[in-house]
Amino acid sequence: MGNSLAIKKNMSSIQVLKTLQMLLEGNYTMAELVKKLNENERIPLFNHSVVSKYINTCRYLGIEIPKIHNKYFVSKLPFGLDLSLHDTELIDRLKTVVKTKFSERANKRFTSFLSRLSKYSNKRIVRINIGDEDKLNDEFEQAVQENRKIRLMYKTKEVLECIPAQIVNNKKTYFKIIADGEEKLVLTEKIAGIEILDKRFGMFGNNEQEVIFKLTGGLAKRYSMRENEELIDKPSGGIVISNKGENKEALFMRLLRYDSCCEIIKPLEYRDEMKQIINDTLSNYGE
Amino acid sequence: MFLTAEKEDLNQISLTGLRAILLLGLLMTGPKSLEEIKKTFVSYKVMENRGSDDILRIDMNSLKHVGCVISRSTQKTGHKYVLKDHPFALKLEDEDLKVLKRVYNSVKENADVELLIKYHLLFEKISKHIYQEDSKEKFLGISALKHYDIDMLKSLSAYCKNNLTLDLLYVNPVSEKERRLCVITDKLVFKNDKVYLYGNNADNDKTIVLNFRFIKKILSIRLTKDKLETQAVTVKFRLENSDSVVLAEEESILEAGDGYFIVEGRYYNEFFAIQRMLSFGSKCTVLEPETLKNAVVEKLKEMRNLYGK
Repeated sequence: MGNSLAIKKNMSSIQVLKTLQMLLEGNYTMAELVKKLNENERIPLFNHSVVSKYINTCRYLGIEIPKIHNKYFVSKLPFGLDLSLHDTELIDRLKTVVKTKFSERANKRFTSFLSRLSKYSNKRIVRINIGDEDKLNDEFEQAVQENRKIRLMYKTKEVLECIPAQIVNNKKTYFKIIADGEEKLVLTEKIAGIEILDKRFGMFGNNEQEVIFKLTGGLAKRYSMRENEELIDKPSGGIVISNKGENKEALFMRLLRYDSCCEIIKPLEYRDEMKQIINDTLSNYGE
Repeated sequence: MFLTAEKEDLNQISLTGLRAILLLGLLMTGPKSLEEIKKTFVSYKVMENRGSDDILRIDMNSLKHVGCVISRSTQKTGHKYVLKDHPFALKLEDEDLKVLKRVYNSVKENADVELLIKYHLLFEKISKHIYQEDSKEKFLGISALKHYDIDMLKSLSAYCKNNLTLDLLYVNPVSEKERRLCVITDKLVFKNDKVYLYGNNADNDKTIVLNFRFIKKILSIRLTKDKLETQAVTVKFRLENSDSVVLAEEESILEAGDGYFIVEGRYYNEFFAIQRMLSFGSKCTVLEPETLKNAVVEKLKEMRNLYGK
């Protein structure tokens, strides 16, 4: 008797839970819902009136299930994620950043994440309106993500091969690019098209060079490696780091800051350049 | 927790379905005993007061059937049922995590420690509603404070606001020895992906910057309020061929000449000032003060010795 009770379950409860689960996962018309729910059953158990009853059951407990454009979806789960006003402000801040600094594609992805998050929350997270931004931004961002060079075609028919760096919004939209080793801002309204090239560039700038440097003293003990670095040796009193693809100028500025606790080992031309910088700086002081 | 809709608006509902959702909601908020579940069911009028506990066990089985993992009520769990996992949670894709990380990193660039703490707590809250452990871990990994003791950070942040004097147990990163430090707190700063405590060493009145990672414990808070006197180091320097140099907030141009700038920087302490001057390389010549100029030259000579003349 005990055993039979242990496996006893209520089919109607299970079906309500399955309906809720389906509505949490996506937005569906009634026909789609019935079809998807029956897909997982040996014999069809769901029909319009049954699913309608289950949706009402969920709504009875305060689960908001609106029907928009003929599709049902969960917009608020009272026992889900409990977001405070401060939390929604933090989410709003992220939304503003995506809207002003990222491409349409990133915007769409972020909105999709937020609308899914919203289903599990007791607050409606306002969705951002995706404007009709230029497709150029998408292409540009794709090139940045894939570390690919681009060819910009200006409306004046000029062509420029460059490294895409970042989209900058400052009243107008600009592309920050690196051409001939220099950073430039290009007004997007002057651009007619973008071609993404097969040529790749380094993840952290225009440099794919591996730089090996040694750190000693206290710095070696407290150093936190960057994402583009790995520890390759641990001689006594120090560590040897391999750094790949960091922008050369930024890397030199950083390594200079480490003063005599840092020594570039490889490549030789970087070592020589550092030596030259040190000598040139000393000559500023007549040394 | 639940907001019951008006019953007259609803033509049909499933009573057993109501119980299942109520039970799911209850267990999602924390472990519950049979008595607690029953009390809620009765208050929501989905069960009679004299109803059998077997009804609740059947409802529990229904939840398990759709994928909920519910541990047994034992002495160890305080005779409560614990919802360990369930499919009614947010499913994240790698692409979601990638975009979120990029957006967060963009916010992080200009964020102070308090804002980062708020984001960390939000991520922790959201992560409880994420399905699958690996996604949960990756999601939490986005926070810059993932390896930090958040409670201690929150306390320090509050102490800094009042410039309280603290006795700290600090591990010297070089000697790895623990020592007691008495610090008049100034501010927490997030820099180079690390949190630093800025303040004054109360024993010698000198400015001190401690990497938060090496603060092991706040030993005590002094009731007497010491006066915080920060002694910023002001440096005047000349920058040449500096097209690609971006000046920091604490730096201002005093003079712009033909191919050069005279800049004045105010740095928290001498160490930061020297680091900044060195980072400019040969573009920079320190003009004032003489002591800092000499210190930079000494450092440069040490560096030259590494590479040979």
